[in-house]
Formats: sequence, structure tokens, C-alpha cells
Amino acid sequence: MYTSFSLRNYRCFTDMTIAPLARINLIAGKNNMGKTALLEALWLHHGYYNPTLGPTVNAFRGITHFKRTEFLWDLFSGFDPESTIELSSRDLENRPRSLRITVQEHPTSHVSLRNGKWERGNGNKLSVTEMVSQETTEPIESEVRFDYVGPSGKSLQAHAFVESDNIRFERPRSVKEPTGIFLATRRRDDPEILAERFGNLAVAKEEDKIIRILQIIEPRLKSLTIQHRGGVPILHGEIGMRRLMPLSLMGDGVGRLLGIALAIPEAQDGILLVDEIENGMHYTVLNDVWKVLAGLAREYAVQLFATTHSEECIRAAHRAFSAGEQYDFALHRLERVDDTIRAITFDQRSLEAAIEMDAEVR
Amino acid sequence: MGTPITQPKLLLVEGKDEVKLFEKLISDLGLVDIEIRSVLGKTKFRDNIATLPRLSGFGQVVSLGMVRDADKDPSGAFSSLRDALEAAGLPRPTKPLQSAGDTPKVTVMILPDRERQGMLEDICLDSVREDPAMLCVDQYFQCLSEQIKDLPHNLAKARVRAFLASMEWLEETHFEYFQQYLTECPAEPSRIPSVAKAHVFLASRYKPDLDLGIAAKAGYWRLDNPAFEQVRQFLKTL
Repeated sequence: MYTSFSLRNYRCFTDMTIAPLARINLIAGKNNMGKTALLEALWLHHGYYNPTLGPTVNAFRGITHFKRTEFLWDLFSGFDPESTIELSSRDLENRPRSLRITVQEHPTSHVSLRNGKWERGNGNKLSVTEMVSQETTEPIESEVRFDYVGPSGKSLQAHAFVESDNIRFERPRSVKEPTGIFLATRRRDDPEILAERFGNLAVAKEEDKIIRILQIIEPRLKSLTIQHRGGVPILHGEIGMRRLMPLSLMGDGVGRLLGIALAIPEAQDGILLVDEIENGMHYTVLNDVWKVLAGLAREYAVQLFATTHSEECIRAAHRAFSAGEQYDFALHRLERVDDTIRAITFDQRSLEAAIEMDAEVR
Repeated sequence: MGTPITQPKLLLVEGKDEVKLFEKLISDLGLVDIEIRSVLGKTKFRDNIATLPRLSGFGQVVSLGMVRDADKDPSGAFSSLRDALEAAGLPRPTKPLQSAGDTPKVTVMILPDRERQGMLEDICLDSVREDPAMLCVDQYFQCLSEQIKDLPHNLAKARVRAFLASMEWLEETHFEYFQQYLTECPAEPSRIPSVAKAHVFLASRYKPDLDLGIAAKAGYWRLDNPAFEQVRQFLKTL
């Protein structure tokens, strides 16, 4: 589990550390303070071996087109490809993990296969990381490199190459890491993914816990089943109507909570990142929602990072954790001071004091 | 819902009563850039001071003031605030009413003053020492000490309550104030003996500063007395 996380030169962050981190972390702050960017950075760091996450975080923001010679430059502070993005963390054993992302100044002009090793076109040999493909002699127009150093000092590299009509991703093999899941605010959860995740729980005979969670928002819900529509598996709910109801018709709150509740078991031992967690949920259910999410996160050893604009969401979380068996929750407010974003962390006592003083904590 | 700190000067006081009183003082002085926040009880001062640097808007505060009752130990009260300031990484004055540091400058006031035991209520009572009602208040508590065993645990609060009860017999100057500041006010002054007497009675209780309703929960009003019989019957018929 992360206990601290530092970012340098990622999007709006020049140099920021956020600590101490809890199991459940709410990120607040005014518009354009980097709340979503912080989630992205955590996801990139956690998924260090997967260079496709780079363009994916852009796709979440609707950025699906780019200039080939400026691929992923928008991840770098000030769009400066000469800087280095540094994302680093400490865990419960105080072990460091770091990911550096760089745009290569001299991308490999072309690669060719000789004797099973990649060679630079100019004759200098690269040290071999992993050979993942035996194809292509396409010229490479730009390259973004992901250099990771793990707790034991072991380093791994991943690459994203932009070729003339293709982006090629090269990743280390045989990396076994817990899953990190990002639930963006703009995208609705893919119904097939939801159905699959629910199916995994149903196979383990654990679907009832999802039904009980959804009953917080929809008390009429009695059961969930997967029905196929046009060949696509869609989750349906029994709420006492003439026919089963597709969950997507039950309202944003049900959809949101379902997405989160199904993601947690999938991300066991890993992280879950949720943008604008309170979306679609009435303030009266937030207390109970936090209680069940906390229980689920602990059960599956998932660390949750979520953003919010809602003071009701923050207060409900504080109340729920204060009344529970364990206060493993922290609020982090991002604010700009002298052109630099910093994180201000509230623990139980300071958040209680702030609420008593009727102070703004977002 | 919470509000950010918006003024360059921040005053921390113990409770809601202090907020209202200091609002009036600040308004009378024509000061416009002071924001008042309550810590909801002197035991909360430490946690609240520690939280201040985290609050939205605190970075713009140039002057921080704190007011605390001395109670039985004025120097202990001051020391506890100094300790809390140190823990929060804020400037610590060496004496009450002497400022320390800048951005923010910090000043602490102990009431009634740095040497006497007591509280804000004592200053209030001192301010009306010459009011004729105070003679009656003194006589009332003299009578109480002769008639009942358990006197109020906080005599200053009790005396304030009894004095304020006399204000229910509204004088004209006070009436103009009430019209300005109270949301519900009669159209003209009137004497409401029942209300005044109720307050004076509550001033005789162990905890003399309870609201009428909370006093009921504390058992100060005898709800099983025949006086409440009709009310009990009404509730049963609902």
C-alpha cells in the first residue's frame, strides 16, 4: 500500500509530495488543481510496465489525436519533452518505487533484427531488455521511455514507439503486479466489463454482497442477472416490475456504485482510482456508501483514491469512518501556493476540528 | 456548510456566545477585516489551532488572535495556548496581549485578565455593576445560598443568567437593539414576567446556562407534575 507519493514534472505538477496516505483517500481542491492528474500519475506509476497507459489517460480526457513528433508531450509539465517525469512512492515497509518517463532525444532511427537482438540502426548495440517482437523495420519517429526501479533495486523498461503509421508498445514480460483500475468520470463503464466482473463474483457465489450494496440506492433490488442483448451481456436487475430492468436504466447513482463495487474485487491487493466519486449519488446515501466501500476495500486489500467536489461527500466519509471500527481515511486538498501545487492532508482530528470550526476543506 | 477564511485577520474564541459578543464589539469599533471562528469549547483549542494552517484561506491571514477564559488558572490557560501554537508551528507570544511573529502575527488574550481567575461573564458583570438590577441579582443569590444546598457550579454564568432575565422587562433602548438584531421581535416593548422568572429559576440550577428545552432533558422542569398534565394528554391523543 502506498504511504507517500511524489510527482515531478507531470502535467500541472512541478514538485509535489502527498503524505501520509491512508487506505481510503479523498482528493479535493478547486478546479484545475490537478485532482484528476494526480489519479493519472498514480495509475501510471502503479502500471509502470504498461506504456499504453500513457495515451489512455489522454483518451480519458477525450484526447485521441496527436502530432507524431509530439507524442505524449502533454504529460510533461509545460509540454517540455526535455524534462523528466518522476513518479515515486514509499510503501508500508518504506520501500521506494520510482518511474521516470522521458522522451528520447535521439529515438532509434530504425531497428532491425539480427541474431535475436535489437540493434540501433547506427550500429550501437542496446542492452537487451526483452525481445517481444521479431517484426518491423519501420522508421521510428519518436520514443517515450518508461524506466522503473522497484523496491529491490531491480529496473525494468517499457517503450512507446511512434512509427509512420503505427504506435508500437514494448513492455517487459512476466510482470506480475496487482491490478490498478481507473474509473474516469467521462466514460460510462463498459457493460461487458461489468458483466464479466459480476460473473466472476457470481461464480464465487459472492454476488449477494453486490446486491446488498446496490440496495443502499435502490432498496427494491432483489437480484441481478446477466442477460444478452444483441449478443452483448448486460446486467439486469429485478426490482418488482413487469420485466427485468437493465442496470443502465436505473440511474447514474446505481451505475456509479455498481462500477466501483465490482472494480474493488477485481483490483485485489492493488489500487482503485475514481474520479468524482459522488456523481449520481444523493447526499442521504453517502454515509452508507462509504461504510460499504470501506469494508469492501479492506476485505480485498485495495487502496482507493477518489476525487470529489462535494463537501457532503467529505463529511459523510468522515462520519462513516469515525463511527466505524477503523479510521483508515484521509482527505487531501490540493491548492496552489506561489504557482506550485501542494497537498494539504487532514487526518481524523484535523478534519473533525475543521468541520467544528465550520471551515471550508475542499 | 464550511466557509473559507476570507479576511486577513482571524479571531478564535471559545463558543457561540463569544462569537456574538465579539461580533458586536468589532462592529462598534468599526473594524471590517476581522473574521471570528469558534472552537466550540476550550478543550478543542489545541486540535483547532493545529488545524488552522490546513484551512482554505489561512495562508492570507496576517493577524491571528485568540481569546480564552482563565477559569481557575490564568497562567495555565495561557500556557496551554502557547503549547498548541508551538505544535502547530505558529508564532508563540511570551505574554498575553503581546504579539509574536508575522504572517501571521499572533496575539493571545486571557479573560478576565492575565492575573485573575474567571471568564468572559465576569467582565460582562463588571460592565453592569452599576445597573439597579444587579442589586436584585446579588440579593437573589444571597437568598439562594440560604435556601438551597446545591448552588450553581458556575456562579458567574448563573449571575449573568439572572441579570439577563431582568432584561426581559424591556427598556426602550434595549428594545431598539432587539428590533435591529433579532429575527422575531414584538411590535412594541412588553413585559413578559413568565419568561424572566423562568430564566431566573434556571439561574439557580447546578448548570445555570441551559436552554429551556435542554433544561427539560436535564430534569430541571418537573414534566410529571400536574402542571404538564394537559400537555401529556394532548400527546397521548395524537
